[in-house]
Amino acid sequence: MISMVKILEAIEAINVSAKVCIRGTTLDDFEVEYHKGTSEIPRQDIIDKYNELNG
Amino acid sequence: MALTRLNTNAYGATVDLASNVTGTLANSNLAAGNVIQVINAVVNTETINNTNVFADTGLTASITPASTSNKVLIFASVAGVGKATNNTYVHLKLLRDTTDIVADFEQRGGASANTDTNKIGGCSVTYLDSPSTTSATAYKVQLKSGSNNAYAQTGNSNSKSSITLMEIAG
Repeated sequence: MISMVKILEAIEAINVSAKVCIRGTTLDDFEVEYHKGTSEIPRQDIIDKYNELNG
Repeated sequence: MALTRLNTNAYGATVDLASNVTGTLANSNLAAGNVIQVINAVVNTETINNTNVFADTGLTASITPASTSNKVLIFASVAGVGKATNNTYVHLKLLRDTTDIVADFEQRGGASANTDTNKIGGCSVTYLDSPSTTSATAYKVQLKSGSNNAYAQTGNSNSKSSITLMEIAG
């Protein structure tokens, strides 16, 4: 289990103005809905940023 | 409804129904108010929404009513509700498929005009719906952030939320 807040922090580190809804329980099952014209970010980029921010 | 002949030999004899009657009582023969079926779903999905656009929380369940006259009693309990990081608040609503049936059963939840995290715990809704259908019908809870500049949350720390649907004979 990981906090989806950490996924949001990773997304906002890539795109500070990202408007998203994130659902899930782990790095393997989280899903992201992009809103208000936010460009989709490749899933692996989010995971890489998450790992960078969280060691 | 298939029934077997009662095994009685004399007027007034005591009949052991459990031993002598078989078959299934049709739902249409149930008196109004009887419970026909119960559906339950429990999820530990955490949902974060930093927009003022409603999105699914992952708390959903589906039921197929036996008759268009039957009702569906919905109990939804959403755990781990809160807001964080800026001036915002939590909105929750209950939908039948794509139709709002209880708009904003939580409104301005955890509102604070600062950057404090504000966890408000559980929120719930109970509603007696008349879907008037015999098709599969989904009920779900959606979440949005009030101010579009910070996030609202359900399922904090993967706490368990549940939704229960009871079909009631009409």
